[in-house]
Amino acid sequence: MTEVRLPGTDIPDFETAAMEINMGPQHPSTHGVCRLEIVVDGELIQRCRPEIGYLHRGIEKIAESLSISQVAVITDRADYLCALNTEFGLMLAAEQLFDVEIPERADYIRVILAELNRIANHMMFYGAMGTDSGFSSPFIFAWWNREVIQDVLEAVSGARLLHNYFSLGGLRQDVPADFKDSVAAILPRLARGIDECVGLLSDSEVFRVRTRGLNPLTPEEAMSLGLTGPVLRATGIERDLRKLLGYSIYDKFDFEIPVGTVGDVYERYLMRVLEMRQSIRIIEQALEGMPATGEFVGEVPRRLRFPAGEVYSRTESPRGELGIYLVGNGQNTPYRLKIRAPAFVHAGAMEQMLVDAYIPDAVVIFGSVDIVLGEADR
Amino acid sequence: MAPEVAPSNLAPDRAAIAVWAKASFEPLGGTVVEDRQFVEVELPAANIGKAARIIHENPEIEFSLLYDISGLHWPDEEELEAVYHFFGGWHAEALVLRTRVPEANPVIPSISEDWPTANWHERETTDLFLIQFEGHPYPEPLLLEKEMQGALLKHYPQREAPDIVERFKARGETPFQVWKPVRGEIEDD
Repeated sequence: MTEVRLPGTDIPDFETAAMEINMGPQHPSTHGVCRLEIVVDGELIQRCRPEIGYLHRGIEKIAESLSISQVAVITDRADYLCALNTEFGLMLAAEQLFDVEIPERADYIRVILAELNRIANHMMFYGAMGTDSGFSSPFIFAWWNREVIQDVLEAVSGARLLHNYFSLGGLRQDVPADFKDSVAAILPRLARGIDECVGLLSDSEVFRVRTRGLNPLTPEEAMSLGLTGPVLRATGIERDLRKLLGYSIYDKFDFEIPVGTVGDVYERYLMRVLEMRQSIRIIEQALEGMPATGEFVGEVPRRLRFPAGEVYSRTESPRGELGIYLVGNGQNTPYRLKIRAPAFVHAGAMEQMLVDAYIPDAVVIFGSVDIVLGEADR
Repeated sequence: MAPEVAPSNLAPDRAAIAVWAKASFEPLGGTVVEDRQFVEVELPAANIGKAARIIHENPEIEFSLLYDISGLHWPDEEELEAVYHFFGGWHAEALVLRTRVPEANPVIPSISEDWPTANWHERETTDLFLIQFEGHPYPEPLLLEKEMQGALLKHYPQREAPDIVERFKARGETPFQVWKPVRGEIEDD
């Protein structure tokens, strides 16, 4: 209970009491179906309890009855906005477990597609961030830019959202003959699109006032909450698994890791915009280095039995660090598949991050960590 | 900010981690396993809390990120296993804690006081494997409904998922109140 006094006097004006309110699950800005149980005193949040599970489909349980090529189909459904990045992590784990070599050309195509998917995902974030903070036009611009990428991904994999394109040892099929040209053709369009983003939101005084200094985090807080990816980098930690581990062929490319200073909402947003530019740089270099001809899939044994043992693969998904824990026991289905979903961890961190924030800011803060509930619930 | 020149304890090698793990966890009854993907420590369940605190206070080697807690079910041994993955915030190395508990009494001390991110990982593991985390601040179901808990145990039926609506009805609750009255009224007319 807080006593509010009339400004400049000792006269009590009114008293406020703690009140429980419920946000979601069908709230327009919860990025899926998530419920936030919030206890407020006035407009100040005292306690927040996120509830998930509305989208739980038992992906990990179903995977225990599927072969590796079938598992890739179902893990696409976890994070549907960047399906290729999830497939990337899964296949890296499986290839390590099965000890399968990947041809160089497949590596390059994987990196190009994964980075395109990263830009598509960040575009989606950019649009949603605009909507969450009260701007409606960024969403339309983001959709234009995303559409260009979707067309390429559709031409390559045949699907717009759930691509199911990476397979054990490489790719499911070869890319179309005009792949290089069509990717090269959209890059200038995307670079222009990112500049438009900057003009619309980052340069907007209203957006800056709304988001600067909002919900700052220290690196220690962020790490203890398990936050990774752009949210962690915004606090000033130069940590990107593409550089740190150099998995796949990321160690061949020259790119920078954008790093923030205070970790507020504005910097979390800015990290994504800067990352999109770096992704374009990676794609340009990959297009240059990609062999024109060659195998798209390596030699894969005909009978695929998961060897006894376990592998933990870590990759940099657009949302944060994605961990895939794969355990085999000699059967043709995995003994256990665990997806360490960044969205799950970030949704859990809301419990601490939203305390002492204001109700109107809750939507912006929730949007700024970029959660897809399909991945959180699995 | 990341230090420009990493001090030696920020870029440890595998051997150094194994030596440190032996010194720190063998007094707690731990066995250090070195021939796997990461350095692993097998511990008795009762000492997980202490071990996690040692890693949290990390005097020698830094592991700032608790990545996840995974459950595993070994029906032949009638045991459940919890696997804790810790990763360095500044380096690429890892440390894995493992503990096994009997199916009959699957209790592990909670580490969510030291590691706030463990809160949800533990709730999830309770949902999927029925492992109880002693001292957890809010041990409520997270992903699954209470009757469906233990879904990742090997004997849990995969194809015959229980009908959630029927289960709610049996409990005398109406889970989807919004759907039902509307439909009923229209059909009655």
